[in-house]
Amino acid sequence: MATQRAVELLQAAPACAGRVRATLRLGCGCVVVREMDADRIQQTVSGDTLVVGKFPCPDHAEPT
Amino acid sequence: MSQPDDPSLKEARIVAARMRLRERFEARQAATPALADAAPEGSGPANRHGMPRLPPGQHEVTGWPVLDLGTKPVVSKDVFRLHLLGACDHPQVLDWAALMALPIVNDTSDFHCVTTWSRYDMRWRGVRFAELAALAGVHEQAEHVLCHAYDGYTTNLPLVEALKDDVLIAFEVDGAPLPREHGGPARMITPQLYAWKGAKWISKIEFRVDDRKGFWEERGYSNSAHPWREDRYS
Repeated sequence: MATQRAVELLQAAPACAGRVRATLRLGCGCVVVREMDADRIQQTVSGDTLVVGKFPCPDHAEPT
Repeated sequence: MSQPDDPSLKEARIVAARMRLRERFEARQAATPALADAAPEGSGPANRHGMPRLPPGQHEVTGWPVLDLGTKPVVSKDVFRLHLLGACDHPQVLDWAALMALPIVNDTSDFHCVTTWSRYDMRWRGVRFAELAALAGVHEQAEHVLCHAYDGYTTNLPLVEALKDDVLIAFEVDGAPLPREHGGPARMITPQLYAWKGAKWISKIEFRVDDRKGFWEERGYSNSAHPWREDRYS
């Protein structure tokens, strides 16, 4: 199971102790829910949302 | 007759070692990608070493995400030790006071994480890696460095990159002690390479004749890690 970058943050909700529960669209198109440290979601200076890191998709390897 | 640990002799030895390292690496440093690429990728005005300020595929942020192997070791200044070992004439262990007794510099540099974020103008205070290399008396045959950290992390880089003036063992950032989650009390920084080449919670600097891959390098990340070539994976 390869890991991929998130191409879109669909939803983020607070979880416990500085963490968030994030719904992400991965590069393969699949939507996954992951809990992560809140600082993994960054607003860029240009105004975009950046999800830091790579995430496993249960169904797809790295997209070609 | 002076003893081997005579401070004046030691200082003279370190000065001579600095000069030898400069002679040996100056031209090769000038030819490294972050200083010599004729058509580098990226965007924005030129940074202080002539590359576009934002490397390709990066996004400028003002935050500072915490990335590590899953643990954040507690390393107080009392227990901190930095080992200099491997291909060198004077392997030694520096405690915090010994590190603070070395020449300390301030430097402002940008920080480029392989996870695609960049943070500009980070104000660091620390000891130049080159100072430690001179102190250790790195062998003429040494070409590589493997850094070890208190959390078990390792990362490797060429000596020619590690000796650049902006490569520091940093213990302050933006006017405050380096926070534990960012590698405090001391971490290495490599502004001209992706930031994973700078070990947080650094514990050992191993000078090597041969190259040995570190944690991420063993797992498919680039051995060379040049941001302006988007050199993320091997």
